[in-house]
Amino acid sequence: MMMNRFSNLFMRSSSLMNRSYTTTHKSSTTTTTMATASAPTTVKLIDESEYNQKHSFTAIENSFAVVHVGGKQYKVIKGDLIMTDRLPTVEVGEHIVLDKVLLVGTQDSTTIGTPLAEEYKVHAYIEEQSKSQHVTIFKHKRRKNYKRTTGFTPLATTLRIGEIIKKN
Amino acid sequence: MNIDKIFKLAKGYFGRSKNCKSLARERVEKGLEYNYVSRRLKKRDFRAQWIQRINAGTRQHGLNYSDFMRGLISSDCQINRKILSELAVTEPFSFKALTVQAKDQLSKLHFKTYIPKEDIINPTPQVKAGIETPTLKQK
Repeated sequence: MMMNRFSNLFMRSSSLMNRSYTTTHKSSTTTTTMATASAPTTVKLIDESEYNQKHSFTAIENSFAVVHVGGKQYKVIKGDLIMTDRLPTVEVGEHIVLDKVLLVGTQDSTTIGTPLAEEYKVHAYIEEQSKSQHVTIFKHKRRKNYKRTTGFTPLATTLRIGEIIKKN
Repeated sequence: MNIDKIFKLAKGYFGRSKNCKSLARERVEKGLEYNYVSRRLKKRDFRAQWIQRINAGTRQHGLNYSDFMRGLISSDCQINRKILSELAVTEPFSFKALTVQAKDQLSKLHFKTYIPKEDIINPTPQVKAGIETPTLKQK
């Protein structure tokens, strides 16, 4: 059931194939590391365009971004649903801004972060705070009369990706 | 484990393994053991596959995997192998940009190391017993 909802994520065809490349190199080396960078910024009840105006961002059409959420990296485009590990500080329906963006590709350029492309951010909405598939842990040592069965259900958060935005 | 759960997991097994209590228990327990191991193997296998894909992608641009990663790591690009392999497959132009970035960085590095060229006094290192010993500037 769950997989059906996300199957389009894996099967989507890339519309961004036909484009020339330019690399934007950042001249200065930043000292921020991913571990010390802050958690996703939470924005309460603000429209995407309102946020963009307030903080002087512009949306980039036809682009993809590589974002770092909850210790994992995801390649996302607008409208994607991604299932991440549980983000503990957010609630369903909330609007957040993912600020750890590692790479942004548009139709005519690619920006590579070192390690973060700091002028880029990605809007996201919390769709669901759910659980992912149950794991049965069965340990067994043969000839030693040792059997242990426990289970584990990882907690998950489903994010819907909005616009990818750039600082003016 | 509860026998009902055992039979639930034994659905589709061959022969009497799906119907007999004792056989079903044996098969299911062995299966769950493999499951435990495979969850760990999965991480290794996928990493190996990603590396193969990145290697195939970078060789199209005249770089091998190890040089490509050396270039990216020394330029502090922290994109992981999962994403790099995905980019190699689906985003040829972005991947080319990454190889350009790696090549750019490699041209600033000494031979096969992470040491910047400008930190080295003798650019052609002496080879002693098969080990290169570049002399570094004192900082």
